[in-house]
Amino acid sequence: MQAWIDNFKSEFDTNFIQENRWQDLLKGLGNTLTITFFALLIGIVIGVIIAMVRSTYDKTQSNARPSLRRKLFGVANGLCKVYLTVLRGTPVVVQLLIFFFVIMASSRNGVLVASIAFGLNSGAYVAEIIRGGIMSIDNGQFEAGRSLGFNYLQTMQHIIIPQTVKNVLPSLMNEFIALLKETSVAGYVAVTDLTKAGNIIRGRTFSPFMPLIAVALVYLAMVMFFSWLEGILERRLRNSDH
Amino acid sequence: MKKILAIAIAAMFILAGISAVAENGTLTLASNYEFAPYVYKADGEYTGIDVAIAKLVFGEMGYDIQCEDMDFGAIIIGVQQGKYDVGCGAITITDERKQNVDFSIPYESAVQQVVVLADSELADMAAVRAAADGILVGVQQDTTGHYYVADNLCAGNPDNCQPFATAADAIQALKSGRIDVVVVDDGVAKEFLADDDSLMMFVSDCPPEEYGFCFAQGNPLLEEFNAVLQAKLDDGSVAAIFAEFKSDAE
Repeated sequence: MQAWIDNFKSEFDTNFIQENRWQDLLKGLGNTLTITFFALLIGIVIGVIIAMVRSTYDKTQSNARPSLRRKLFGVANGLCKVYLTVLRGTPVVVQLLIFFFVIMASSRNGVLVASIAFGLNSGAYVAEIIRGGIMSIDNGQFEAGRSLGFNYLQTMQHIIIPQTVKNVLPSLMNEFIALLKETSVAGYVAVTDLTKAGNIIRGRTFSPFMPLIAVALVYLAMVMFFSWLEGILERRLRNSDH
Repeated sequence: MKKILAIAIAAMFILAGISAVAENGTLTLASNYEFAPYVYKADGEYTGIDVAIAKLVFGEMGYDIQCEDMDFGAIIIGVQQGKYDVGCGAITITDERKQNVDFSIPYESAVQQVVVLADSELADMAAVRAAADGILVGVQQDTTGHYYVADNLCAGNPDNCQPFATAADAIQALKSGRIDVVVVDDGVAKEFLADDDSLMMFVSDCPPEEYGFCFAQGNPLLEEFNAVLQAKLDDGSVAAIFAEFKSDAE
């Protein structure tokens, strides 16, 4: 037992204390959080826009008059569909590599490229989550709004969206957690995120246990923290239920 | 029905026995097979200087070789843990690595080259040194070039050291202007420059190194391997391999 404790101590020392290796992990964590944060912002903006276009097109399908505006709207809807198909139909690592080596080949900021790539990818999933939320609200709610004299946008704003937010929150949180963990492939394009920082330590110390477990624990702690925050938010929103 | 089952089970045992016999004569050769001319894939086959030497030496010792492809950083840990029998692929013999695996006698000496774009202002090592805090330096992760850049060249600003999974990725990033220089072993650098005049290179101030094959510590094969490798170095057959693969590149 004593031998095991001594071994643990020396392993800990080599992997985290020597040459201030824990600082590399900390920096990696910083990059992971930066990428996740900006990807989340980009994802939500794109997701909301696409969800708006897609659900509005679908909801107004039945009573739309054929016109140029309607046709343009149809084109926008088609573009959104193509975006969803491509971004959801290819692995995020491949998209990341395409962004790094092809589309944004001259950018010198790997964190920026990763944020954009993950953001665009996440946007596709967020869009479908939000669209699902909007479409799941009973049509009666919509008709009630219209019969009270609200126009389409007002109905959306006052009746549909508030209910949607509450419905989609758990799925959005799911997507956020998945995104946080997906950023672990950013190492493919020379971004030193948390996973890569752990890998570099492992490559230098040749002891796989400590760096990998440490990295896993940090991800787990982050996910648990965000789930806890989401729990609080959900409880708050539920207070308005009558 | 029972008979069929019995035959099937017997057949399984026989097959298992056969494959176990073959297994005895096969050693796994771990490397990152993207480091031409030392280790690479051509026409779907693993080949290169290191593979040829391994085939030559182990062939004489009566073993077959089976190549296993992985990230460079996974080779030494894998060999150490006994997942693979031998690690190769321009692996520099260092004291740090020696604490975890045993190395064969060296079969090649090498230096770290700095690769830049042909029209780069960073035209010699002094210029790179002078600009070291403000340039992005690409390396292959976990190689000695990586350690040299992280600990020495970019020690003033460690974020400038950009570790890529393969040397080829780093060279691609260099060519797209994303990074300013790449530090890589010279055999590989020459390979990249051979068919590309948009690049040039010069020797870094990293001390020269030697390559060896690595084995798990205490592996009894090592002694015989060293003896045979020494004989092959002496009789010129290793030199012939080098000539074959390096002329291939030019």
